[in-house]
Amino acid sequence: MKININNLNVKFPENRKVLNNISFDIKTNENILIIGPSGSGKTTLLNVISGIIPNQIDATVNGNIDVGGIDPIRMQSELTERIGIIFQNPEDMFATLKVEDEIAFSLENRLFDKDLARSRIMDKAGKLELRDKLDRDINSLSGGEKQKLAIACIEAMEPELLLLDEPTALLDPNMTKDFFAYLHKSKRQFLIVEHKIDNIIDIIDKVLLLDEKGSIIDYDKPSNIFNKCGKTRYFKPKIFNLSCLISKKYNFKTTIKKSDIREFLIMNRNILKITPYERNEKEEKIAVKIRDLYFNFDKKEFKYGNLNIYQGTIHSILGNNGSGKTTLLNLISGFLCNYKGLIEIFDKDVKDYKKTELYNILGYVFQNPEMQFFNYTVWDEIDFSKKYIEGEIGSIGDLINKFYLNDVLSNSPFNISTGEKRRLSVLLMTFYKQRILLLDEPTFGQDRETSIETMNLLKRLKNEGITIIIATHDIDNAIDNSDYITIISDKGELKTYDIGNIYQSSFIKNYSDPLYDLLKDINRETGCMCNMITLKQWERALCGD
Amino acid sequence: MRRLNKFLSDINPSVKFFSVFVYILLLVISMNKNFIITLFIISFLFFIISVSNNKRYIIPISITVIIFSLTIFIMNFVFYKAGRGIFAIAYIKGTKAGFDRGIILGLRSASIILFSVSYLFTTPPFRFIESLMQNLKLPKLIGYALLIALREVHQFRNNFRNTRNALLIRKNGHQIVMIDYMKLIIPLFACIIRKGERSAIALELRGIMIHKNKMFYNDFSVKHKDILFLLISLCFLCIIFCFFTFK
Repeated sequence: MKININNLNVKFPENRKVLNNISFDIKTNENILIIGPSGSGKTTLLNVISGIIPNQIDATVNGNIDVGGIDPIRMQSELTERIGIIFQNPEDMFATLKVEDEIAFSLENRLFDKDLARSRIMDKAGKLELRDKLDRDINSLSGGEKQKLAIACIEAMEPELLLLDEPTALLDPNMTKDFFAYLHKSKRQFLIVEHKIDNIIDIIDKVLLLDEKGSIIDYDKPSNIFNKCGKTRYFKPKIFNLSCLISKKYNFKTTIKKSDIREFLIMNRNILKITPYERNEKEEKIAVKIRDLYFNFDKKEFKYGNLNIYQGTIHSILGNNGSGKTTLLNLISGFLCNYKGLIEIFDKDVKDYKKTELYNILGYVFQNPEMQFFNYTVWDEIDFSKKYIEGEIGSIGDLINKFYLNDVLSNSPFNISTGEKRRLSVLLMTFYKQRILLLDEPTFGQDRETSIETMNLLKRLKNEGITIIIATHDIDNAIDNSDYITIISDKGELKTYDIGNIYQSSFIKNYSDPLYDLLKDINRETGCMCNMITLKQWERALCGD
Repeated sequence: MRRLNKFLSDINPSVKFFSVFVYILLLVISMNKNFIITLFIISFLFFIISVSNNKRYIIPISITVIIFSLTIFIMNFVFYKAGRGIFAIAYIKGTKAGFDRGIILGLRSASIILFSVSYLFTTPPFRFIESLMQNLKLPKLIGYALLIALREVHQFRNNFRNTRNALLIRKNGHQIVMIDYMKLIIPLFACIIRKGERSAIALELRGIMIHKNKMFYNDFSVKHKDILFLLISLCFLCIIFCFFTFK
């Protein structure tokens, strides 16, 4: 499907301009990746192309938009027959309660013949491995299965074009890989907004790069886009960043081709230096001690076993979707009590703490920060927490400065940026000088810049002596910033590693990532025993500390 | 028992709803003790058949129904003053009329609960909504809004638990009092409004408004056995109603 967009400007009713003079063309069967910082209008652009803006979401749209010969603003219903859209959270698009009914829904609306609908459902369910789940309740599916169902629903309509808005945000790395593999196999044209660009770089034709004001910085082939420096700093794929690292020190041309890098590194195997991980030898006191922990929840058993979390460290918890990461945080924080075994915080059983005592030393930042906002402005939120202070705290002004929230004090906490929401939620949870901070997916749905900002904030808190416990899917952030990593198996068993020996875990061994896959190739070819996953680790191996 | 349960489960939800509605309507308008006792026995039989696949619910539901009906019976027996007294303790006096009234109202409420529970156990709510859309022409936008709301009950429970925990932790562990629950409305409403907005957009994008009509993948048309069920149950009801009312 051809798309032509000329001089597109989008302004929301509060006079906020989101897209600024956008012009670009997409040829038939071209797959486009849209990237840019938070608030650059990526989702707005998808919404304009699908006609959601201004038909369902009010906004002023100026400019010419032609999507396959249709103006989506005036003829959205014609367009819905030809495009399919998948949201960040698949649950948002479900209208029924059963898997089969859900796939049938779009076909029912298009007045399909019942037999044809049944064969289409069987075909798509088969391709997405959902055939044995057709009579299941949607609520009983895992996150990955729900995303597969969302694809099956859209695929059943056989649209010409797919619009994908961060479709893998809720998926673990393995499910993300499966998702993109399916997308590649389906051979359907797509426009995608995605932060995990490493997984998709091989299957896109062009990249549309937006700036924070909603203007196009560049629109070109991936190799050309990433070769240009400057503002693309945070949006380069890891494989390209690695080629930049190599080219800085050696005679090597930057590229996004994994094969070129692989060949160069195999030829020059000596440039990779194994820098041993320096273990923190200082005496560490235990902040959280878990022994023989067993929990049964929603007909699912978690045999957690034992875990030590040391004071003043960042301790990440990794695992697949549904392995029980959030449940473990809920157990430590005392929200769930009917468990077997022992959980001690600073040598005292969690069950023996009074709630006021416990939450004086322990803070919890939820995956969705909005869940912990109860007031109309950011200042009211801070004021609300002040009421419950028992001891002395420092100047509120200093605290607000520390979290860079001065400019949004009079705004609603629901209308500030994702990064600001995250910072506010962390501020509110460190208000009483809590000594342990639990965070559920703190980098979820954030671009790389905001993720780095959040992790830097957590490192600062760690340096102040706060113990940080993070449940996450973000393996790179976990490895770069944690002192210890605990892997939860699908049965809920815990195994803790320091960064030096994390590579022994089967979870990491099976982890698919462009840099790690490249390293495995090189190790196999050269007999090296290098272990690097993140760009930082590669940098250390290539350039030394 | 399982066969009867399957038979009841297979009846068209709208037809079943109509017959239960008529039974309840007659229960409400009749004050004939024998008629109500007969319908109570029927409702109890229906209840036993309906929960035969979920036997663990029999005792808790029965206890709840007994407590509820007994309360209504005692209130009427003790506080209804008209008529001949049949017992007196201190200032509490029970009358024959009060006793009859208590029996009628107690069994009537028990029967209404048992019929309703039987219906719920043999008809998943989403099938009922789908059947309303097909058989009673419930507008599809309302039907799907109800289905989404039904699915969101589960999610709402999780959100409520999370916001409650978040408030507890924001209050530094101080007990959550009644007035604090008003605070939960803000994040919960924010979630519901956003969810509603996104769901409405998704429904439109998936073509709910493309055509006025709609093909229904699950067939809930009224079949011969549904008509037979309706006729038999209504005839039976008419016969016992007339027998007890006009004899």
